[in-house]
Amino acid sequence: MAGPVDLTTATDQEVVERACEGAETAFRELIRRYQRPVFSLIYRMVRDRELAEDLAQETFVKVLNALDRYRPEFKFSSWVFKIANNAAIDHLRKRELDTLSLEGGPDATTADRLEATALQVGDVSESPLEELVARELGSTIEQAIGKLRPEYRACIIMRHVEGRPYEEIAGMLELPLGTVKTYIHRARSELREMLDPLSESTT
Amino acid sequence: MNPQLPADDDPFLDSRLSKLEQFSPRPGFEDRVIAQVRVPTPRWIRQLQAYLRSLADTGRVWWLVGGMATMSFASLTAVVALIATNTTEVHTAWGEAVTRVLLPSWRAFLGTVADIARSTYSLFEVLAVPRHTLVTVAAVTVVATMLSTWALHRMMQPVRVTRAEVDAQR
Repeated sequence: MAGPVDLTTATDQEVVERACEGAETAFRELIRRYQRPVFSLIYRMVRDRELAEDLAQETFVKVLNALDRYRPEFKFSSWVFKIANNAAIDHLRKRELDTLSLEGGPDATTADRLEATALQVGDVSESPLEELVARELGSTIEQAIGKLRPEYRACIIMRHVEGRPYEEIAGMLELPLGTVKTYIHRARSELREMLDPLSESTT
Repeated sequence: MNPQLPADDDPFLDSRLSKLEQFSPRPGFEDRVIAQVRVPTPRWIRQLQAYLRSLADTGRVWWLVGGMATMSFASLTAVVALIATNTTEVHTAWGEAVTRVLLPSWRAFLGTVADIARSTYSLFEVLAVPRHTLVTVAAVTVVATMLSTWALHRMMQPVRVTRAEVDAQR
Protein backbone atom coordinates (compact mmCIF):
# COMPACT_ATOMS: atom_id res chain seq x y z
CA MET A 1 0.00 0.00 0.00
CA ALA A 2 1.27 3.52 -0.81
CA GLY A 3 2.53 5.69 2.01
CA PRO A 4 0.91 8.95 3.09
CA VAL A 5 0.94 11.55 0.31
CA ASP A 6 0.38 15.29 0.76
CA LEU A 7 -2.51 15.60 -1.65
CA THR A 8 -2.24 19.36 -2.07
CA THR A 9 1.27 19.06 -3.54
CA ALA A 10 0.82 15.68 -5.24
CA THR A 11 0.52 15.38 -9.01
CA ASP A 12 -2.84 14.57 -10.60
CA GLN A 13 -1.67 11.01 -11.25
CA GLU A 14 -0.78 10.49 -7.59
CA VAL A 15 -4.10 11.89 -6.44
CA VAL A 16 -5.94 9.64 -8.90
CA GLU A 17 -4.01 6.63 -7.57
CA ARG A 18 -5.02 7.50 -4.01
CA ALA A 19 -8.63 7.92 -5.12
CA CYS A 20 -8.57 4.49 -6.78
CA GLU A 21 -7.38 3.09 -3.45
CA GLY A 22 -10.60 4.40 -1.91
CA ALA A 23 -9.45 7.68 -0.29
CA GLU A 24 -12.36 10.14 -0.26
CA THR A 25 -9.94 13.00 0.44
CA ALA A 26 -8.35 12.32 -2.96
CA PHE A 27 -11.74 12.61 -4.68
CA ARG A 28 -12.30 15.93 -2.93
CA GLU A 29 -8.85 17.15 -3.95
CA LEU A 30 -9.59 16.43 -7.62
CA ILE A 31 -12.87 18.34 -7.38
CA ARG A 32 -11.12 21.24 -5.62
CA ARG A 33 -8.47 21.42 -8.36
CA TYR A 34 -10.82 21.41 -11.31
CA GLN A 35 -14.14 22.82 -10.14
CA ARG A 36 -13.35 26.42 -11.20
CA PRO A 37 -11.85 25.72 -14.64
CA VAL A 38 -14.52 23.13 -15.50
CA PHE A 39 -17.35 25.33 -14.29
CA SER A 40 -15.93 28.37 -16.10
CA LEU A 41 -15.64 26.47 -19.38
CA ILE A 42 -19.19 25.14 -19.20
CA TYR A 43 -20.61 28.43 -17.96
CA ARG A 44 -19.09 30.33 -20.87
CA MET A 45 -20.35 27.67 -23.24
CA VAL A 46 -23.98 27.52 -22.06
CA ARG A 47 -24.21 31.01 -20.47
CA ASP A 48 -26.61 29.85 -17.76
CA ARG A 49 -25.24 29.61 -14.23
CA GLU A 50 -27.62 26.98 -12.85
CA LEU A 51 -27.37 24.79 -15.91
CA ALA A 52 -23.58 25.17 -15.95
CA GLU A 53 -23.46 23.97 -12.37
CA ASP A 54 -25.62 20.94 -13.19
CA LEU A 55 -23.44 20.07 -16.18
CA ALA A 56 -20.23 20.59 -14.16
CA GLN A 57 -21.64 18.32 -11.46
CA GLU A 58 -22.55 15.74 -14.09
CA THR A 59 -19.02 15.99 -15.52
CA PHE A 60 -17.36 15.35 -12.16
CA VAL A 61 -19.69 12.47 -11.30
CA LYS A 62 -18.91 10.89 -14.66
CA VAL A 63 -15.15 11.42 -14.28
CA LEU A 64 -14.89 10.29 -10.68
CA ASN A 65 -17.07 7.22 -11.16
CA ALA A 66 -14.89 6.15 -14.08
CA LEU A 67 -11.51 6.77 -12.44
CA ASP A 68 -10.63 3.08 -12.66
CA ARG A 69 -10.86 3.38 -16.45
CA TYR A 70 -8.57 6.43 -16.60
CA ARG A 71 -5.39 5.79 -18.59
CA PRO A 72 -2.41 7.48 -16.92
CA GLU A 73 -0.57 8.03 -20.22
CA PHE A 74 -3.03 10.89 -20.88
CA LYS A 75 -3.19 14.12 -18.90
CA PHE A 76 -5.94 14.00 -16.30
CA SER A 77 -6.85 17.63 -16.99
CA SER A 78 -7.34 16.87 -20.71
CA TRP A 79 -9.68 14.03 -19.84
CA VAL A 80 -11.75 16.21 -17.49
CA PHE A 81 -11.98 19.09 -19.98
CA LYS A 82 -12.91 16.71 -22.77
CA ILE A 83 -15.85 15.35 -20.78
CA ALA A 84 -16.86 18.86 -19.68
CA ASN A 85 -16.74 20.18 -23.24
CA ASN A 86 -18.73 17.20 -24.54
CA ALA A 87 -21.37 17.78 -21.86
CA ALA A 88 -21.69 21.43 -22.87
CA ILE A 89 -21.71 20.73 -26.63
CA ASP A 90 -24.27 17.92 -26.22
CA HIS A 91 -26.49 20.26 -24.26
CA LEU A 92 -26.19 23.03 -26.85
CA ARG A 93 -27.09 20.62 -29.65
CA LYS A 94 -30.04 19.28 -27.68
CA ARG A 95 -31.21 22.80 -26.91
CA GLU A 96 -31.05 23.67 -30.59
CA LEU A 97 -33.36 20.75 -31.35
CA ASP A 98 -35.68 21.49 -28.45
CA THR A 99 -36.02 25.22 -29.18
CA LEU A 100 -39.66 26.17 -28.72
CA SER A 101 -41.50 28.21 -31.24
CA LEU A 102 -42.45 31.62 -29.93
CA GLU A 103 -45.89 31.10 -31.44
CA GLY A 104 -46.58 27.97 -29.37
CA GLY A 105 -45.56 24.42 -28.55
CA PRO A 106 -44.96 21.94 -31.38
CA ASP A 107 -47.89 19.74 -30.31
CA ALA A 108 -50.35 22.62 -29.95
CA THR A 109 -53.17 22.17 -32.47
CA THR A 110 -55.88 24.56 -31.32
CA ALA A 111 -55.73 28.34 -30.93
CA ASP A 112 -56.15 28.03 -27.15
CA ARG A 113 -53.24 25.56 -26.88
CA LEU A 114 -51.11 27.77 -29.09
CA GLU A 115 -51.75 30.73 -26.81
CA ALA A 116 -51.17 28.67 -23.69
CA THR A 117 -47.84 27.26 -24.86
CA ALA A 118 -46.53 30.43 -26.50
CA LEU A 119 -43.44 31.91 -24.88
CA GLN A 120 -44.06 35.25 -23.21
CA VAL A 121 -41.27 37.63 -24.14
CA GLY A 122 -40.47 40.64 -22.01
CA ASP A 123 -42.81 39.96 -19.11
CA VAL A 124 -40.23 38.31 -16.87
CA SER A 125 -38.31 40.57 -14.53
CA GLU A 126 -34.63 39.82 -13.98
CA SER A 127 -34.01 37.42 -11.09
CA PRO A 128 -30.94 37.76 -8.80
CA LEU A 129 -29.38 34.82 -10.66
CA GLU A 130 -29.93 36.52 -14.02
CA GLU A 131 -28.44 39.70 -12.59
CA LEU A 132 -25.38 37.72 -11.51
CA VAL A 133 -25.05 36.19 -14.97
CA ALA A 134 -25.37 39.64 -16.53
CA ARG A 135 -22.64 40.93 -14.23
CA GLU A 136 -20.30 37.99 -14.89
CA LEU A 137 -20.85 37.55 -18.62
CA GLY A 138 -22.00 41.04 -19.47
CA SER A 139 -18.67 42.59 -20.44
CA THR A 140 -18.05 43.29 -24.14
CA ILE A 141 -15.46 40.52 -24.46
CA GLU A 142 -17.68 37.97 -22.70
CA GLN A 143 -20.63 38.89 -24.92
CA ALA A 144 -18.42 38.61 -27.99
CA ILE A 145 -17.24 35.15 -26.91
CA GLY A 146 -20.86 34.19 -26.36
CA LYS A 147 -21.63 35.01 -29.98
CA LEU A 148 -18.94 32.67 -31.36
CA ARG A 149 -19.78 29.21 -32.69
CA PRO A 150 -19.57 26.65 -29.84
CA GLU A 151 -16.50 24.99 -31.40
CA TYR A 152 -14.67 28.32 -31.68
CA ARG A 153 -15.81 29.27 -28.18
CA ALA A 154 -14.42 26.04 -26.69
CA CYS A 155 -11.10 26.53 -28.48
CA ILE A 156 -10.70 30.16 -27.49
CA ILE A 157 -11.56 29.45 -23.83
CA MET A 158 -9.15 26.52 -23.66
CA ARG A 159 -6.41 28.57 -25.28
CA HIS A 160 -6.80 31.95 -23.61
CA VAL A 161 -8.48 31.26 -20.25
CA GLU A 162 -7.00 27.87 -19.44
CA GLY A 163 -3.74 28.48 -21.32
CA ARG A 164 -3.71 25.01 -22.92
CA PRO A 165 -1.34 24.30 -25.83
CA TYR A 166 -2.79 23.70 -29.29
CA GLU A 167 -1.86 19.99 -29.25
CA GLU A 168 -3.70 19.42 -25.99
CA ILE A 169 -6.77 21.27 -27.24
CA ALA A 170 -6.73 19.11 -30.37
CA GLY A 171 -6.60 15.99 -28.19
CA MET A 172 -9.36 17.23 -25.91
CA LEU A 173 -11.73 18.18 -28.69
CA GLU A 174 -10.72 15.23 -30.90
CA LEU A 175 -9.91 17.56 -33.78
CA PRO A 176 -6.88 17.70 -36.08
CA LEU A 177 -4.24 20.17 -34.93
CA GLY A 178 -4.68 22.24 -38.10
CA THR A 179 -8.42 22.56 -37.47
CA VAL A 180 -7.81 23.81 -33.93
CA LYS A 181 -5.37 26.42 -35.22
CA THR A 182 -7.87 27.52 -37.86
CA TYR A 183 -10.71 27.70 -35.32
CA ILE A 184 -8.63 29.83 -32.97
CA HIS A 185 -7.53 32.10 -35.81
CA ARG A 186 -11.12 32.54 -37.01
CA ALA A 187 -12.39 33.02 -33.48
CA ARG A 188 -9.83 35.75 -32.88
CA SER A 189 -10.75 37.44 -36.16
CA GLU A 190 -14.43 37.38 -35.26
CA LEU A 191 -13.71 38.67 -31.78
CA ARG A 192 -11.63 41.48 -33.20
CA GLU A 193 -14.41 42.45 -35.53
CA MET A 194 -16.96 42.39 -32.73
CA LEU A 195 -14.75 44.36 -30.37
CA ASP A 196 -13.70 46.93 -32.93
CA PRO A 197 -15.67 50.11 -32.11
CA LEU A 198 -15.44 51.21 -35.77
CA SER A 199 -17.09 48.05 -37.03
CA GLU A 200 -19.73 48.37 -34.29
CA SER A 201 -20.63 51.92 -35.32
CA THR A 202 -20.88 50.98 -38.98
CA THR A 203 -23.20 48.00 -38.38
CA MET B 1 -7.07 48.00 -32.39
CA ASN B 2 -4.92 47.98 -35.47
CA PRO B 3 -6.79 46.49 -38.47
CA GLN B 4 -3.48 46.12 -40.31
CA LEU B 5 -2.26 43.53 -37.79
CA PRO B 6 -3.24 39.88 -38.26
CA ALA B 7 -5.70 38.73 -35.58
CA ASP B 8 -3.14 36.30 -34.13
CA ASP B 9 -0.76 39.14 -33.22
CA ASP B 10 -3.26 41.65 -31.91
CA PRO B 11 -2.04 42.89 -28.50
CA PHE B 12 -5.33 44.69 -27.79
CA LEU B 13 -7.27 41.47 -28.22
CA ASP B 14 -4.68 39.58 -26.18
CA SER B 15 -4.97 42.05 -23.33
CA ARG B 16 -8.78 41.72 -23.36
CA LEU B 17 -8.57 37.91 -23.40
CA SER B 18 -5.97 37.83 -20.64
CA LYS B 19 -8.42 39.64 -18.34
CA LEU B 20 -10.93 36.81 -18.56
CA GLU B 21 -11.22 35.13 -15.19
CA GLN B 22 -12.41 31.83 -13.82
CA PHE B 23 -15.80 31.60 -12.13
CA SER B 24 -16.71 29.56 -9.06
CA PRO B 25 -19.77 27.37 -8.62
CA ARG B 26 -22.01 27.90 -5.59
CA PRO B 27 -20.58 26.87 -2.19
CA GLY B 28 -21.14 23.19 -1.41
CA PHE B 29 -20.43 22.05 -4.97
CA GLU B 30 -17.79 19.60 -3.73
CA ASP B 31 -20.24 17.95 -1.30
CA ARG B 32 -22.95 17.74 -3.92
CA VAL B 33 -20.59 15.91 -6.26
CA ILE B 34 -19.21 13.59 -3.58
CA ALA B 35 -22.77 12.61 -2.63
CA GLN B 36 -23.17 11.09 -6.10
CA VAL B 37 -19.75 9.45 -6.39
CA ARG B 38 -19.12 5.81 -5.53
CA VAL B 39 -15.93 5.93 -3.46
CA PRO B 40 -14.37 2.47 -3.94
CA THR B 41 -13.56 0.13 -1.08
CA PRO B 42 -9.91 0.58 -0.05
CA ARG B 43 -7.60 -1.53 -2.22
CA TRP B 44 -6.21 -3.69 0.62
CA ILE B 45 -9.73 -4.75 1.60
CA ARG B 46 -10.53 -5.59 -2.03
CA GLN B 47 -7.32 -7.60 -2.30
CA LEU B 48 -8.11 -9.46 0.91
CA GLN B 49 -11.67 -10.13 -0.29
CA ALA B 50 -10.37 -11.38 -3.63
CA TYR B 51 -7.82 -13.59 -1.90
CA LEU B 52 -10.42 -15.09 0.44
CA ARG B 53 -12.77 -15.61 -2.51
CA SER B 54 -10.04 -17.37 -4.46
CA LEU B 55 -9.30 -19.55 -1.44
CA ALA B 56 -12.97 -20.51 -1.18
CA ASP B 57 -13.25 -21.12 -4.93
CA THR B 58 -10.25 -23.40 -5.08
CA GLY B 59 -11.05 -25.24 -1.85
CA ARG B 60 -7.81 -23.99 -0.33
CA VAL B 61 -9.77 -22.35 2.47
CA TRP B 62 -9.89 -25.77 4.18
CA TRP B 63 -6.12 -25.92 4.02
CA LEU B 64 -6.00 -22.48 5.65
CA VAL B 65 -8.47 -23.43 8.41
CA GLY B 66 -6.66 -26.74 8.92
CA GLY B 67 -3.31 -24.96 9.08
CA MET B 68 -4.56 -22.44 11.63
CA ALA B 69 -6.11 -25.22 13.76
CA THR B 70 -2.88 -27.26 13.61
CA MET B 71 -0.83 -24.21 14.58
CA SER B 72 -3.12 -23.46 17.55
CA PHE B 73 -3.02 -27.08 18.66
CA ALA B 74 0.78 -27.19 18.31
CA SER B 75 1.17 -23.96 20.35
CA LEU B 76 -1.12 -25.29 23.08
CA THR B 77 0.73 -28.60 23.18
CA ALA B 78 4.07 -26.78 23.39
CA VAL B 79 2.84 -24.67 26.34
CA VAL B 80 1.49 -27.74 28.16
CA ALA B 81 4.72 -29.68 27.50
CA LEU B 82 6.77 -26.73 28.74
CA ILE B 83 4.80 -26.57 31.97
CA ALA B 84 4.90 -30.36 32.43
CA THR B 85 8.68 -30.58 31.99
CA ASN B 86 9.44 -27.56 34.21
CA THR B 87 6.94 -28.09 37.01
CA THR B 88 9.16 -26.77 39.79
CA GLU B 89 10.18 -23.59 37.94
CA VAL B 90 6.62 -22.89 36.84
CA HIS B 91 5.32 -23.49 40.37
CA THR B 92 7.93 -21.15 41.88
CA ALA B 93 7.29 -18.47 39.24
CA TRP B 94 3.52 -18.75 39.74
CA GLY B 95 3.92 -18.51 43.53
CA GLU B 96 6.06 -15.40 43.15
CA ALA B 97 3.61 -13.83 40.76
CA VAL B 98 0.76 -14.52 43.19
CA THR B 99 2.58 -13.12 46.22
CA ARG B 100 4.14 -10.15 44.45
CA VAL B 101 1.43 -9.07 42.04
CA LEU B 102 -1.91 -10.81 42.39
CA LEU B 103 -2.30 -10.74 46.19
CA PRO B 104 -1.32 -7.07 46.62
CA SER B 105 -3.61 -6.13 43.74
CA TRP B 106 -6.50 -8.12 45.22
CA ARG B 107 -5.94 -6.57 48.65
CA ALA B 108 -5.84 -3.09 47.17
CA PHE B 109 -9.10 -3.77 45.31
CA LEU B 110 -10.80 -5.09 48.46
CA GLY B 111 -9.54 -2.07 50.42
CA THR B 112 -11.04 0.31 47.88
CA VAL B 113 -14.39 -1.53 47.87
CA ALA B 114 -14.44 -1.51 51.69
CA ASP B 115 -13.68 2.22 51.72
CA ILE B 116 -16.53 2.95 49.32
CA ALA B 117 -18.93 0.75 51.32
CA ARG B 118 -17.87 2.41 54.58
CA SER B 119 -18.33 5.93 53.18
CA THR B 120 -21.75 5.03 51.76
CA TYR B 121 -22.85 3.50 55.05
CA SER B 122 -21.70 6.53 57.04
CA LEU B 123 -23.54 8.78 54.57
CA PHE B 124 -26.79 6.94 55.14
CA GLU B 125 -26.14 6.96 58.88
CA VAL B 126 -25.83 10.75 58.78
CA LEU B 127 -29.05 11.00 56.78
CA ALA B 128 -30.74 8.82 59.43
CA VAL B 129 -33.06 7.19 56.95
CA PRO B 130 -35.12 4.32 58.45
CA ARG B 131 -33.95 0.87 57.41
CA HIS B 132 -37.25 -0.14 55.79
CA THR B 133 -37.11 3.00 53.58
CA LEU B 134 -33.64 2.05 52.38
CA VAL B 135 -34.82 -1.48 51.60
CA THR B 136 -37.83 -0.07 49.68
CA VAL B 137 -35.63 2.33 47.68
CA ALA B 138 -33.21 -0.50 46.83
CA ALA B 139 -36.07 -2.81 45.78
CA VAL B 140 -37.70 -0.08 43.64
CA THR B 141 -34.34 0.67 42.00
CA VAL B 142 -33.78 -3.00 41.15
CA VAL B 143 -37.31 -3.39 39.74
CA ALA B 144 -37.02 -0.11 37.76
CA THR B 145 -33.68 -1.20 36.29
CA MET B 146 -35.13 -4.55 35.26
CA LEU B 147 -38.20 -2.88 33.71
CA SER B 148 -36.06 -0.36 31.81
CA THR B 149 -33.85 -3.14 30.48
CA TRP B 150 -36.89 -5.08 29.32
CA ALA B 151 -38.43 -1.97 27.66
CA LEU B 152 -35.15 -1.15 25.92
CA HIS B 153 -34.85 -4.71 24.70
CA ARG B 154 -38.40 -4.55 23.30
CA MET B 155 -37.72 -1.22 21.57
CA MET B 156 -34.60 -2.57 19.91
CA GLN B 157 -36.35 -5.56 18.41
CA PRO B 158 -36.59 -5.41 14.58
CA VAL B 159 -40.10 -4.99 13.26
CA ARG B 160 -41.50 -8.38 12.42
CA VAL B 161 -44.29 -8.57 9.93
CA THR B 162 -45.87 -11.86 9.09
CA ARG B 163 -46.67 -12.93 5.54
CA ALA B 164 -50.38 -12.78 6.45
CA GLU B 165 -50.04 -9.15 7.59
CA VAL B 166 -48.24 -8.20 4.36
CA ASP B 167 -50.96 -9.86 2.30
CA ALA B 168 -53.64 -8.12 4.35
CA GLN B 169 -51.97 -4.72 3.72
CA ARG B 170 -52.01 -5.39 -0.02
